[in-house]
Amino acid sequence: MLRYLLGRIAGALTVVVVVSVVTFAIFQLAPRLTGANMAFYYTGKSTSEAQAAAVAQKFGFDKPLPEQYWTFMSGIVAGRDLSDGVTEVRCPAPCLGYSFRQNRPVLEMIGEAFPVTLGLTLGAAVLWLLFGVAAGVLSAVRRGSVFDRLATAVALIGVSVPEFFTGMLLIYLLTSGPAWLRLYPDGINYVPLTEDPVGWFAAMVPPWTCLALLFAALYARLTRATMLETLSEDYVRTAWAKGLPPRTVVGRHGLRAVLPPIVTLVGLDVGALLGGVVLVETLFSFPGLGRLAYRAITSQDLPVIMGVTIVGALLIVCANLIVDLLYGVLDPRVRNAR
Amino acid sequence: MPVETTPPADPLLSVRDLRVQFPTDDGLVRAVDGLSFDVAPGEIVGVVGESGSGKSVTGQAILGLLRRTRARVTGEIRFDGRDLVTAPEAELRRLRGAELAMVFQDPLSALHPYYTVGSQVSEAYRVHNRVSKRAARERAVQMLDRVGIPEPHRRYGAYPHEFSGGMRQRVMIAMALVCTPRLLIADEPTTALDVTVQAQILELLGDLRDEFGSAVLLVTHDLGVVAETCDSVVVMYAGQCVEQAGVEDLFARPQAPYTWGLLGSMPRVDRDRRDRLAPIGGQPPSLLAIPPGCAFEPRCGYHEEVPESRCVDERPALVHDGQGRAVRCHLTAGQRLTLRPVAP
Amino acid sequence: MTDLLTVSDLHKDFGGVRAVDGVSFTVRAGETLGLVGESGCGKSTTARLVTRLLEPTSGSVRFDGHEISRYPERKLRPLRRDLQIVFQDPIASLNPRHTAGTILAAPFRIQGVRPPGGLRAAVAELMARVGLNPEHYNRYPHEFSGGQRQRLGIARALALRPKLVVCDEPVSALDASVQAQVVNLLADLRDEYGLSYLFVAHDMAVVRHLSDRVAVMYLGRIVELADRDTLYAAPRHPYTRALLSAVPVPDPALRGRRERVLLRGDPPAAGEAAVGCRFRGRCPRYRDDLDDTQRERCATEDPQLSSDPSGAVACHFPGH
Repeated sequence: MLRYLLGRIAGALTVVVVVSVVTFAIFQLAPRLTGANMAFYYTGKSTSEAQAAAVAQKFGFDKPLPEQYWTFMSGIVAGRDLSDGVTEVRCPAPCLGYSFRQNRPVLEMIGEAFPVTLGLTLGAAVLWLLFGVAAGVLSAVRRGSVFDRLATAVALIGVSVPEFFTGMLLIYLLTSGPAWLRLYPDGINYVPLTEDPVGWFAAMVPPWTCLALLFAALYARLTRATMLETLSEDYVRTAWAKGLPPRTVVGRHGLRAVLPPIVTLVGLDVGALLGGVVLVETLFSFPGLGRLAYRAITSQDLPVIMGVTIVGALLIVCANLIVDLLYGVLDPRVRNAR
Repeated sequence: MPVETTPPADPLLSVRDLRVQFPTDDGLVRAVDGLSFDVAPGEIVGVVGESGSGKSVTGQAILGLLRRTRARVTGEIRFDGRDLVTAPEAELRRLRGAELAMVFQDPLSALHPYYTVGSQVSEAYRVHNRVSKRAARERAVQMLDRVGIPEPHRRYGAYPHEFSGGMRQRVMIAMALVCTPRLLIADEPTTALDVTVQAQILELLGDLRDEFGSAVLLVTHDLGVVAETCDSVVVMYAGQCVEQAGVEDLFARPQAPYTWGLLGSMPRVDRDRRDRLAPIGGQPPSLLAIPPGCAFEPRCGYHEEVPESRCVDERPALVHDGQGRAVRCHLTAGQRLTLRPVAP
Repeated sequence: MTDLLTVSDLHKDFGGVRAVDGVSFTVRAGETLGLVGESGCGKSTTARLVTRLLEPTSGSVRFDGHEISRYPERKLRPLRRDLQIVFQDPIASLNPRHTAGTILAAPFRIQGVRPPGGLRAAVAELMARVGLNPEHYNRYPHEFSGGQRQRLGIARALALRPKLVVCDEPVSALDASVQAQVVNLLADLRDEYGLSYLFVAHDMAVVRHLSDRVAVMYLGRIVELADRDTLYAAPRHPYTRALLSAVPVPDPALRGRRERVLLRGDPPAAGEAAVGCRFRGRCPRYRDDLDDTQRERCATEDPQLSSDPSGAVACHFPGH
């Protein structure tokens, strides 16, 4: 188990390094290839020529790329002194860059946005797991029943209707729909959990629902298929032959075997969502990572885009690592194999 | 015309005119087609046949495991006076594992890969016995020890993939016998194992029968396994019993032409080598279209001995001789005596 | 008789595991050598090495005057006309998208052979010879039964009248009645065409029925090799004795009267027990009959296959 663990961690670290190199290369090389002046991506379009030259000098855009990469990476450890040609700023360690547009270190912005995304994702995950897995198991056990057909139809709708449609529908119904549905007459506004837990929860419910609807449908389909396969396994037949009640056969012997693939998928989905739930956050105007990235892209704020990309990639790598470790816990054959 | 008769003994299990049919897109598959046989308490009965003979389906039908499939099960399976075909599911569930247990062919796929073998054995005990986890664990360790798992205390916590094939099958047997059932159905329990391991498992089954007094229904394709292990034999062909007899009787004086064919097909290490085997010609019939007469007639070399093409038109009945023998064939007893191929 | 196939000191490692560990034998022209053993003993790997579906780690394979152990595929192709293999699982070894006709015509096409009466007639004749209906020329493998598919596999191997056919468990997936049909077919074809077989199987009775000489494998080695009648009448290696005594015999009158050598435990995984005799852990003779000095020898010295007029056995203390 220890060897398996160490192997996975070493693998994850390698991926992180590769990801940082690739991200850095993409965002530093692309503007050069299109011939744009890098300095504008750091300070804004209204920058004067002199100011741009100062920025370029300070950031060392003329230096070879590996050296720039090194400066960037060492900034994460040691912090950096940066300047947009007008003001000198200190970006303290760990420094992922500094947005001169917002006059704030990128990490601080990410740190503010991340809890929003985290709350959104985890809450939605709980919802979609609860409903998706339950619906999938029931469908599999009562295969061909009315419930199964109904669930399949609902799942199909859930998968095919885009999030922005359900999101807009929700917002319309809840804020300006019929009176009995108008539960949020003042709009759905994000409140930090630390300030007002009840308000936070209330504000979270609509985006949770919007996100979970899509994923619950996907998970119901996955669970149903895996469960059907499992129920035809020899060891489930053995469980029946022992005289176990259906509850135990399905719940203990069946569900246990369905867990590993579901856990894998949850890990990957949650990891990807943590990097930013762009559509839902933008739709509901929640100040999460997704909206941060979206705004950075529209205003061409390069340091923020790079920071969010690297953090997002890091989150996916972490999620993958956790999935691998959980797999070792869930499947004894994996545990012994390496 | 002979009428189906019932044998005199008071059996533990009595199967009468059992039919198992699977509706498919191609038509109705008659997996078991009017099967009748008996198992006495403590007896080891071999159910022998080739693939598609319905022998495995029969084992599952007895345990009621086909209830969750599309299979249609009719006829009578009388176990200790109760009819298992019509018994409510709750009653069957009380019997499964407690009175009727099953061992399957491939122990690797029949054991849950994510639970320790010990927990699987003790679970089987706790379903039917109100005992503490600790007591169940002790019982499981005791069973693992009894079936020959070395260091049972330590191996209790091991997973199925950490065992060899033979040891896994021992675990399956421990799990099946943990509640001392009165009938153990062993479905090809040694087919996936090497021959030296098979010998160990068969010996274990025999020993356990003596110790626990469980009757065993040993489903197998191997007449050698039957001869070495069983007290009596049911020979199946196309979902029917074509012959039932005590084991010595069957091998010394086989009555059904199909049994003759099976015995002639076997190369043997206990006899002088023949230059040619005497196989049965042709293929077993499709279960979608079993001949209306004798199912074996198209492959049988003796149908011309029976007048008026009865073998083609009329299905022979399973006739008991009152001494524990039954045969399904239109040949007369005298004909069978003279026609039977002499064993080489 | 001339030696058609000579294998000497053949080794095959799979990722550090010795599947075949120094195997030597010959197959003479016109004879059938049986290669028998339990799962994991290396018999199937040997079959694949001899037909060069696998490349040996070391050792030599001489077939019909050619040292083929290192031949590249280009040089092997013309030899494949004379060296064929029949597999256990006919459905896996026949292309499901090709008809029987296409499958049986392939050997002719690949080797550039033009049969005198035309390809179609040659294939039809081949089908008839192995007991298939030539009218089923256009059927696909899944439309045949298991026994018929194995006949198809045999027909494909025999299309060009090879000298040696390696049969890797050719009948173990078949039911008893069909198995006997295929065994008889193999015997008839051998007599008719003067074939040689390397017959690889786990079933002692089938091997005895078809073989002239028999080699018994255990953990990558041949532990005994002898004439069929000698081996079955008086096995000398304790493993052969155990194997033979474990075969269930369809005669209840012999129950309890046959010599029973029960082995304890399962066959160990390949690659274990590097020092001394690899069978001693399960050996009933080592356990019951030997004294301490004799055991010491088993524990330290790896027994080599040594020949005498009645055969060859790899045991320090073989039976009579």
